[in-house]
This record gives sequence, structure tokens and C-alpha cells, in this order.
Amino acid sequence: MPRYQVSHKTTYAYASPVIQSHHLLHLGPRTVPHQVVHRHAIIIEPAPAAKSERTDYFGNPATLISMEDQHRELTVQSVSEIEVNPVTKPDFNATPSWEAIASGKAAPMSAEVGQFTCASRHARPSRLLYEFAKPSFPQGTPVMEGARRLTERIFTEFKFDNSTTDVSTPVEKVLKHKSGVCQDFAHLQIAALRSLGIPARYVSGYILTHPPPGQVKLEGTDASHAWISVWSPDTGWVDFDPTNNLVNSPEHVTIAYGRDFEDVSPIGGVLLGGGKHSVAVAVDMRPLDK
Amino acid sequence: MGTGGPVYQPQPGVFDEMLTADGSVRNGWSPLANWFANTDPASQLSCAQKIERLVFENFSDPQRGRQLWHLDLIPLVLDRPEWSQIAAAACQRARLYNALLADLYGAQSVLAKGILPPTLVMSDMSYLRPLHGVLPDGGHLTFLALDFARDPQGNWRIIDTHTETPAGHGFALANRMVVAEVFGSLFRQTRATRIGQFYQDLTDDILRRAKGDNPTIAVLAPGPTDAAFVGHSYMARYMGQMRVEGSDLRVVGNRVYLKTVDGLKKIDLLVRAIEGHRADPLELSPDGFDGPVGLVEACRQNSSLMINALGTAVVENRGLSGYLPALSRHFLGEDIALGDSPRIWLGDPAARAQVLASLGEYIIHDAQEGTGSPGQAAQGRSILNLSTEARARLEDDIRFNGQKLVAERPVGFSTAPAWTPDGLRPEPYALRVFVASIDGEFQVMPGGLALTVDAGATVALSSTQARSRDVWVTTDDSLQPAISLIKIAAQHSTTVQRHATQLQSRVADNLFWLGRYCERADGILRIVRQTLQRSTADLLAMPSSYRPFAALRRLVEQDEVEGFDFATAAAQSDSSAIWLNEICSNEARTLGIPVTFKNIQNIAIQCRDRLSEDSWRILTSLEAEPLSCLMPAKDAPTQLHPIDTLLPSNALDIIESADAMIERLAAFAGMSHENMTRNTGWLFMDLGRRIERAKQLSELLLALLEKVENEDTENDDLLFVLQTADSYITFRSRYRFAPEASLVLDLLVIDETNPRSLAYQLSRISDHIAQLPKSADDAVRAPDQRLALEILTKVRLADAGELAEVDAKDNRSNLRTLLKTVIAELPHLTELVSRQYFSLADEQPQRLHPQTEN
Repeated sequence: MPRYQVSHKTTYAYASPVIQSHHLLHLGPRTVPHQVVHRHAIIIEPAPAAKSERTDYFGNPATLISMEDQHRELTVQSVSEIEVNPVTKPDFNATPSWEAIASGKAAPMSAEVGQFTCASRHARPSRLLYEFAKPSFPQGTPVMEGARRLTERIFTEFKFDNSTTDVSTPVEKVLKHKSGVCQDFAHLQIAALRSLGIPARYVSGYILTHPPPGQVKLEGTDASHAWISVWSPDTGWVDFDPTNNLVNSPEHVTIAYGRDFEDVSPIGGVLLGGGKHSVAVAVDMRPLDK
Repeated sequence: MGTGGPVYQPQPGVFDEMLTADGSVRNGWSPLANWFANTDPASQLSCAQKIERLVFENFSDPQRGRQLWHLDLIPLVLDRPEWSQIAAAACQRARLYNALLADLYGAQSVLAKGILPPTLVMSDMSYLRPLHGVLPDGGHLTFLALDFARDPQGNWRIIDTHTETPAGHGFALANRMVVAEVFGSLFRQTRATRIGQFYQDLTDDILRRAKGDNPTIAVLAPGPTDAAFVGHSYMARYMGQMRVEGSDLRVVGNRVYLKTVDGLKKIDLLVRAIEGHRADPLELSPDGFDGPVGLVEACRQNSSLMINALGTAVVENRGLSGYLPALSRHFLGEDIALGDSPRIWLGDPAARAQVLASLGEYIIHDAQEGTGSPGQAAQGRSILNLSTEARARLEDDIRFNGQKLVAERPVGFSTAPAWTPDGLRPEPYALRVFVASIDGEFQVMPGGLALTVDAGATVALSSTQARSRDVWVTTDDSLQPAISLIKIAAQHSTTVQRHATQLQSRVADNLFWLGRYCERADGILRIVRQTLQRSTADLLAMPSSYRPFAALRRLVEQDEVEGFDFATAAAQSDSSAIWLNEICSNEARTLGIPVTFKNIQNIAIQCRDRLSEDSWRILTSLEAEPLSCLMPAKDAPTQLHPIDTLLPSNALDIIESADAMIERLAAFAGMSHENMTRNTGWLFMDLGRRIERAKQLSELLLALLEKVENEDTENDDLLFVLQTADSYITFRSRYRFAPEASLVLDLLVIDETNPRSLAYQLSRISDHIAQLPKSADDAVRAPDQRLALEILTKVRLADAGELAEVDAKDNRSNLRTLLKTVIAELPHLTELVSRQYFSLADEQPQRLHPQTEN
């Protein structure tokens, strides 16, 4: 079983002192059937005045912290040791047709599943996205087969480019420019699937990166990653990664899932004071020897 | 019929509230119908005008200019049996919604059992997931309002639900105050029910819920830029509660605190008048800063912290209409007493197909509109008047976003009489009914708000111009409760007193600047008046070195305005005219009249809940317009006298207007002096006033007396200063000869018994600061105390003779040194006070930039 050690360190530097701040962290790996969390800790510098752990609406671990002392820098480091069990890839062609999923004929959707067909801030269904998704879903296409084709299309037709988008880029723009980062591809695919009525959710986590052949992996060069999950009654949720064209990969570690990025943003916060600020993120994901 | 207006004729076949189909007057309407029939049109018109005036005083919003609120002369009368049905239906709804909210934020059993489609709730952005599991003991709802309408046959239905904020109460209360003032005796003849008791009970209940000995309760409402601001302020003031904004609050250790001049004070209960999704930028909408950061977690720790609880807007969803009968049976075991308008939720695939097939028969509305403000609902969309393209867009919207839409067949409305100068006219209307939980039971306010609606394209209270009516519910009780609105208002002012010790930093800031701006306006107006009075009287003065304009020139010089170059202006031959015009008419000048009046009014709006009706009336009546100068054409050929090129043609009108404005400001100053309790709020306002007066006076003295131009003008300058500083009479009563510099300076700078002197201002400033909450009682003085005392001492130690001394270059360098020190130190003092008492309110929270995932 692959076992990983992940360190995710975020440092905020503020131009002027922060008088008070509140933060919401989604950094603790959640429970999913195929992964076991052996160890997890969050280290915060300076120490927060208050800290509370809770489980959010989607079942993700969430941490609320508040800082009451003036500070000019904040470091949040999450360290985890996680074991990922490989998942057998289901027979996509045996899944119900996408129309049967969307209409609820294959199986009625619970509130838990149904909410992922609804528009969310970053992934709203539209005619445009429907037209984009439709070529991957001819009439009667099994839902997971369609999702796989769409994943492959985004992987081949879109360019990875972290200079064209930011956290608030609408998917319509991503579609127009055919470029973006993992988060944009995830939002695009989710919105496209929802336009067909298929439940799709956003997954945040980490992916193991491999150095170019012959080179040593550098520290802090990994990044937090995002992909999606698609639902069907027989398979449950299946992961698709449009950035890497992967399905249910054992090299993905799941942190949290939600309707879109906003539900699972690793670190959110509101500050009093602080002025302009900069952020540095370093992620390391290393396989552990048994 | 008597001498009154023409006979009222409802539309045939449409139910009318006043007259039955055969023309007889319905129960309860006789006194009003008789009044209308027997009162001559001129008297009716004067009643209508009185109402218009009173409404204007209550609702005018100088920031928005024209008021959009109208109140009809004729109230809507509902007799008791009719009302009982409405009240029963409204209370049943309240119980149903409370049960539904507890389920949606708890077990979600109705979603699991399929009684309600899950996506109806899950697609609604006002279902606040972070509040799942937060279940207040007393239920989610304390306030709600329901909009009732009759169809043309007279059958009631409910057309909308408002569970988010207590919007509308303020308007209903103010309407009643106004109508009762005009129609007091008709109200009694109609045996209409008073609404005071309801609000008394509600206020008492809220106090009880807050627990504790002296609980701090506040109405959390959006600021003055929000459309509902006037209504919220009115309600807060009426119920004797503090109105606070998100920036007044701070969450520390999961408790909510109010930022006061005394430091942080714990809040025990918040009455929520902000939209839930905007209540906490940390866990709810990232762009919603109407509540303090961390409020959601504070509500998790204390689920009864807020009424209404966060998340209640979800039951406003119009898509619920079709599911209400089943929900009522499920939760209450009762049939629904009164249903909604027939509506179809377009998230249901079969219903969607049916509506798309015959789209022309329907009006399409958002399922969740999210506004409780009367008169602001959005118009529905109908394809009947849409282009092909717009129709395709609507169809796409239904297809892809049907979960957020409802379709409705227009049902039509009954009518009620509306007053016009040409007689009564039948107008379609809807009725807003207010429900509140008091002592654990839902009760209906025995009155309400009726609004004229656009019967054609409407399903909600959506007229853009809110034409409203008071609602009179007849009573069958022989004993009226003896309590009146006035009496309750009086009782509640005692509640206000109790909170007076907890002065919000924001309010202290506002009061300080209100004091400053009022004093500034007074100072400027006096200079303008004095200058013009002198100039119009003094025909011999030469324009090039005309002295009386020196004070105005000084005002202009102090204040850099983009696009205005002081040096260029000063070099011109008619610069005097420029100074006057700049001060009276330039709308960008901080030390000018238009900006100062606007500043006063903006602050008055923001602390309206702290001002008496009289003060509010005075401050909103300040007008800069009549003071704006009509300047003569620059090269007008035949001027009678050089002075005419300097003066506006409306100089005498300006003097008259300045008189009027000075009187109003004096009335406000007198009212604050006589009527405001000497609490911390008053201290801050008077501190602002004194600091501004000290500054204005110093500048005035510098402008006119720093340099002696010549012996002749010296006398004029001294007189100008004495008169502008309102000290001429005092001077004349002491000295029987013409003003002499050292005596004038003694009176205006050093004499602490003269309330217009510099020393008097500084001694008040020093006293006030010593009384502020954070001042030290012991020998170790706080920095602001030290600075105030330092400035005062410098002035006290000055010698009038030395100040009046003129050096070889005709300058009074001693006077100059002293005044320059005062002028330089006063801003430091303001800064120290601001930092100490207001600064908490200044900082706006900002969001941390989220990191992107790769």
C-alpha cells in the first residue's frame, strides 16, 4: 500500500501589523473509503488565541483559529502521514446512461448527492457548458464513460498555464481561452457535468509529482491539487483528474470535498489591518518506505 | 351623500374592500366612508398634504434625495372576523416554517422522505450550510412577515414570505404615527386596534430572552447606504434598542462584543436586520461584511445569540408553495389554513416540461429573491413581451437553472380605495402582516402595511414606488388597552438611557464630527454674512485691498482643492469675488458651505437613532442651495460702483439665507445644550464643537489681525473680528470707546468668561477630555489630557498687551506664534482622541488572498 508523508506550509507576510485575524483551515485529510490517515498535525506560528476543530457540512475536518495579538507574519504548516489503497477501476460501460442519472430514473438522489447537481458560486450550469459537454455524452452514453471522455478532452484540448487565471476566474473564460490550472479545469468539468444534470463535486488534495528522469526531486516543489468526483448509484463517487487525465489514482491524497473551491479553500481568513500581503506555499509529498 | 368628493366606484366584478357589489359599505368602513362623503375636497386635500409632510419628515433620506415612500390618506380597514382568519393562517405558517427550519438545519427528514425535493433546498444559496446543527432553543424565527392578497373574487392567498429580517416594521410604525396624528378621531370611531401593546410585549419579551441583569441588546443592521436603513433605524429607536453595524462589533473568543469608547462590551442578544449570508465573511459569503468576522462560530457556541437565527431566509423560497400542504400535515398534523399563490417549482423535470410547453401562460420569478424591503421585489418575466432572443434566454434559464425559478399564473388582485384629489379610486393592493414570537407563542401585530401593486405583471409587493397604507383592524373588545404609542415611546426612552453608558466608538466618532461640522458651518456662515453686510454697506472701500474678504480668503487658502490654484486666484483683481464664490458654491471645498452641510446630514443619517425628531428636522433642513452666488458677468459694461463687480447680484438674499441657517444651527446647538444628557455622547459632540471653534477663531484672528495694514483698516478689522465672533455687544458693554487691539485680544483670546474666547474653548476641551472614560483620575495624565492642558496653559499665560504688539514690519509676531501653535496642536489632539476612542471603528476588515491550487 502506498504510504505518503505530506507537508503543506503556507506563510503570509503582511506589509503592516495585523491587529486581529480569523482563519478557516481545510488542511486535515478527510476520511474516505480508500485512504487511512495515520498522523496529522497543524502547526501555527505565532500561536493562535483560540482554536477549534469541527467537521463541516460535507464531513471535512475544519479548523477555526483566531489571532488576537499583533503580528506581521503567519505560518501554517500541516503535516500528515496517509496510506492510500488502490481502488479497482469500475467497468465504466456498465454504469447507467447519463440521462438515467440526471432524471433520477437510475436511482433517486439523496440530498447529499443531489446538492452536487446544483449551481455553486464557481460552477454554474449553462447552455454554453452543456454544449461543451455534449460531444462526450452522445445519447445513452454510460455516465462514467462520458465523464472519462470529458476528462480526456479537457486534458488534451486545454493548456496548463498559471498566468491566465486566478481564484475568481469564471469557467466561461477558462473555456474561451482553453487554458488554466487544476482548479479551473475542475470547475469547468463540474459545471459542464452539472449542465447535464450529473452530480459532480470538487476534491482538494495533493498529487505525487515525479522529477524529470535522472533528476532528484526538489523540496517544496509539489503543490496542492484539485480534481473532481462523479456519482453513479452502482459505483458511488469516482475520481477524475482532468489536469492529468487520471482516474482513481493511488498517487492522489484527498483532503476535502465540496461543491467547489470555496467550500474547501485550504486557508481562508479575514484580517483587521495587515495592508498588502504576500503568500508563499511549499508542499512536499514523499512516499514512505515500508 | 354630503358635500364631499365624487361617489366611489369600484371596478365591476372585482372584490373591493370598502364597498360590496351592491354598493353598500362593508363592516368597519362607515366612519371613513362618511368622512369622505361629508368633508369638502379642500379639507381632504389639506389632510393629504399634512400626511405628505409628516411622511417626509419621517422617511426623507437626504442621501437619496427624493423619498420613495408614499402613504395614502385612506387606511385599509379589516373587520375582526376577516382578521381572525388572516391571523390564524399567519400563525400557522409561522409554526410550520419554524418546524421546517429546525428540520432543514437538523435531521433533514423531509428531504430524506421525499416530502420536499432535496435540490429545492440545496440549490438555494440562502440555505447556510455552516449553520447546520445550530438549533436555537426558542426556534429559528422570532420575526416574520407574510404578504396576503385577495383574488378578484375576494379569496385570500399568501403571495410572499419574509423570514429574514424585521424589515417593514419601521414603516408600519411610522405610518401609524402619521395617520393617527391626522385621523385620530376617525381611528377611534372605527374602533381600530392600537398596535402599541404588541410592540411593548415584544420588547419586554426580547429583554427577558437576553437574560442577565442589565443585558446589552442591539439591532444589527446595515449602514446608511442600505435601502432599508431608515426603516431599521426607526424600529430600533422605537423599541429603545441600539442600532449597530457589523464594524461596531468584534468577536473575541467566540463571544460578540461592542466596540465602545469604554472598550469592548459583551453583547447578550442581537436582533438581526442584516441578510444572513452577509453576516460573516469568514464562513458565509466572502464579500458580506454586514456582520463581524467569527459570528457564525459565536452562534454555534450560543445558538440563541441572534433573533432571527442565521439561515432563516431559506423558507422564503417560493418553490415551497406547492409542498406546503404536505409539509403542514407532516409537521403540524394540520391541513394548511391558507395556501400560497398557485406556483410551480421549475426544478421538477415534469413540471418544467409542462411550463415550457405553454410558457405564455406563466410569469417566471426567482424562487429566492432575498429582500424583505417593501416595494422592492423584482418584476417577473413573461415571454409575452419578449423578443425571440430574450425568449430563448429565458427558456435556457428555465432549462439549466430551473431549480432556482418558479412559474406562476397571474391570479389578479382585489381593490381598496385610494385617495386622489379627484376622489377615491380603486387600486389593487396586497397586505403585509407581521408575526412575532412573544412568550413562546406566535402573535400577529393587529395592523400592518398595505401596498398598491401592479396587478398586471405581479405576484409580489413589487411596485417601484411604494404607495402604502396604514391597516386598521377593528376591535370587538369593549375595553381598549389604555396604552398608547406615545406612552410607550416615553417608557422606552428610559431603556435608551440605560444603554447610554455604552457609547459605540462609531457613534462617538459621529457625534464628535457632528459637533465639529455644525460649528464649522456656523463659523463659515458668520464670516459670509459679516463680509457681505460690510460690503453692501460700505460703498467707499476700494476693491484691490478690500479687507473684509481677508477672512474668506483665509478659508480658501487653508483648503487645497483640485483644479483651483490659490496663487492665480489671489493675483486677480476681482479675487474677493472668487473667495466668496468658492466658499458658498464650490461643492468640492471641505471648508465650504455645500460640503459642510452635506457632512452634517450624512452624519445625522448615520446617528439618526440618537437624534431627537426636532434635531433631525433641523439638520435635514439645512440647505446650501439658497447661498450659492449669482456672480456678475466678469466684463459687464456698466457697473454702478467697483464693489458691484465683487458682489453676487443676490447678496441680500444670501445674507438672509445665512441668517436663517445660523438660526437653525443655533437651534440645534441650543437643543443639544438643553436637552442632551451630559453623558459621554454629549462630551464628544461638545468636544468637537470646541475644537472646531478654537480653530476657526484662531484662523480668523490670524487672517485679520496678524498684520496691520494701516491705521484706518485696523479699526474695521477689529470690528469685523468682534462681530464675527459674536462678541461685539460684550465689548461695547465693557468699553465705551472704539475697539483697541489689546482689549479685543484680551476678550477673544484670554478671557475665560467669554464663551466665544479661545481660552474658554481650550478650558472646555481640557475639562471634557478629563471626563472621558479612559482618562486617568490620578496624577499621571493620559497623552490627550497632557496636550489639552499644554495648549490651554500657553493661552492662559499669554499677555494681551504683548499679543497686540506690532513689530517693525507691522506684524504681531507674538500673536502669530501663539495662534500658529494652537492651530498646529489641535489636529494632534483630534488624532489622540480618535486613536483612543474611535480607531477601533476605523479599520475595515479585509479578506486574506486565497492561494490557488495547481
